[in-house]
Amino acid sequence: MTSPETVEARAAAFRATFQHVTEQVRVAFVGHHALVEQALIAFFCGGHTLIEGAPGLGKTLLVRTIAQSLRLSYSRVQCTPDLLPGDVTGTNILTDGPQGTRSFSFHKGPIFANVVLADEINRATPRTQSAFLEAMQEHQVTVFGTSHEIAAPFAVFATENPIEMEGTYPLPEAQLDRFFFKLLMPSPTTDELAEIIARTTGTTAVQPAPQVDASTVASMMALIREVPVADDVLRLALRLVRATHPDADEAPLRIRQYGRYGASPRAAQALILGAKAHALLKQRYHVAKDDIRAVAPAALRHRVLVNFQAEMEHVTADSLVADVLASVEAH
Amino acid sequence: MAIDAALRAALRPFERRALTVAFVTALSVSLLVVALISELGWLVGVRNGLALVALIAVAVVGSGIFAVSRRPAPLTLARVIDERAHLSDLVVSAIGCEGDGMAAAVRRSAIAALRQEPAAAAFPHGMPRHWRRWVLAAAVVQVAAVPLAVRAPATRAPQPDLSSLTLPTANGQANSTAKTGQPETPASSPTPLTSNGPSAPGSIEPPRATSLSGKLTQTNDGVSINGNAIDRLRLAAANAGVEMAAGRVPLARRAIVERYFAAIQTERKRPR
Repeated sequence: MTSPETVEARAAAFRATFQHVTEQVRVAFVGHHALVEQALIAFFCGGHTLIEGAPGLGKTLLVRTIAQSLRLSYSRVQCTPDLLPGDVTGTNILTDGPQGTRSFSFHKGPIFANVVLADEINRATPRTQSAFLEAMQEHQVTVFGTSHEIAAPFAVFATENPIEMEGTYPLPEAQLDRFFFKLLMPSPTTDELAEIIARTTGTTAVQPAPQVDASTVASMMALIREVPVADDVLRLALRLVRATHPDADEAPLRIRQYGRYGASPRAAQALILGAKAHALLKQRYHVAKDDIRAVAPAALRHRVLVNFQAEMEHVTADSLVADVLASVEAH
Repeated sequence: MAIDAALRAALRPFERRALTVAFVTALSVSLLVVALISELGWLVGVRNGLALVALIAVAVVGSGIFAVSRRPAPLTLARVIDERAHLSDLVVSAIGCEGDGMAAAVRRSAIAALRQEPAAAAFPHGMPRHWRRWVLAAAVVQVAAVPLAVRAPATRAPQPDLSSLTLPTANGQANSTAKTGQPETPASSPTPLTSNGPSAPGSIEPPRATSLSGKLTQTNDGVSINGNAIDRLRLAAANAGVEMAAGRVPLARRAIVERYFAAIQTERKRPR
């Protein structure tokens, strides 16, 4: 039996570790505190993150800094149109044995790391993008009929550039749904820009000091899953997911008008898990409706698909998610 | 749903407070209804103190039964407390949590928060729900009662005993009335004001012309009189008395008529 005092100690340790990692990330990455927090929430919930932003905002730097703040293996996949699936997953290579024999041995690709950065994933072909699918969902890769496990913890951070459309392949809905959160990286403020310039154009260079290992990450992930959710709060999350579907009774008018397809059950999983982590950070041992509301935009914006009319009228998924939140709370 | 005993004990003051607020609210509405019923009854002449006490007792008991029937479930109680005390779904989560570890920590937090939160803050006394409807209904009843007050029949109220009153004659002796159409004759018995002796309340006697004295003559319209102010007072009272017997005097004038009759009785008792 776990005593409340032990739980409180574990929760305090969770917050302390989270805060430490956040501070280490801020050593190299300036600003965007909410975005950093949500990226770390997604990681500690065992989810993958899609970061969208214009070039030069620090998407790659953020992911690299997160990986450096954690004592975990890190690899980067620079997605290009000529990238092959085998370049991601690895492939069998003919090798010479000790007695002159030859055999195929599997050489693991860059996907076999704790933190994987898939940079500009929308530049890879759909065939290569699908190579990430199995790994992201099942934490394993199947090559020539043989499955190879990916060591835990495993998280894919993908970035994409919404500006350049030429030579890009929009992520299919099936892959989009596998991302726990989608985060939008805005442009930095003037003060943040000044800080960036000061850090990057001077003579000093500071690197984050990693102090969190895989076992600590695993215990934090386990603690998140222990946070209880009341039925009322769970129902709110489920109503939110249902309300994103244009044919649902709970759907608000704008969803019926501009929505093409709604969120899947994975969205509900992301809402609940993200809310549990958010609750722990807010020094609560239970999930509140405020936690659901805090993570809802990141969990739903890439799962609410808009129709052609919405694209013509420049109606964004974020605005539809805001309508869903307001509509569900009003009822 | 099994609720932790300590959590249930922490919720008990809130439960009692919710019951109290519900009872007071229901009682306020019930007493308003009792007041309206009593007022209507008084207007139509039903004046029974015992009935009023009984109505009040029914209102009290009914309010108690209503409050108990509307007793909130623990989960409903928790939702209200969470919302009004800004506890971020803490009590709701504590009720739904079972087991140890994190669930026990949630329950402990909830119990600590409930002990710090005053029950009166979570369940303050306030106006009844839809109180505007009740006020509007009371106002409508008041307006509707005005014609009722004006048209209430006089026979429902206690009336003076007209048969015991007589019309004095010119010589100061009481005059007796004959039956229909017969001339007046000196009589030793008092002459009742009604034309045919005491009439039942509400009955209408056909007026007849009878000569009662040199001063008083009973006509189809009542009693005509010549003479001084006292006689005119008698005439007015007599006329009003006939109308009262026929049930034609409205309530508002009844008090005036009673004063007239009282004045007549006083005059009768005055030594000549």
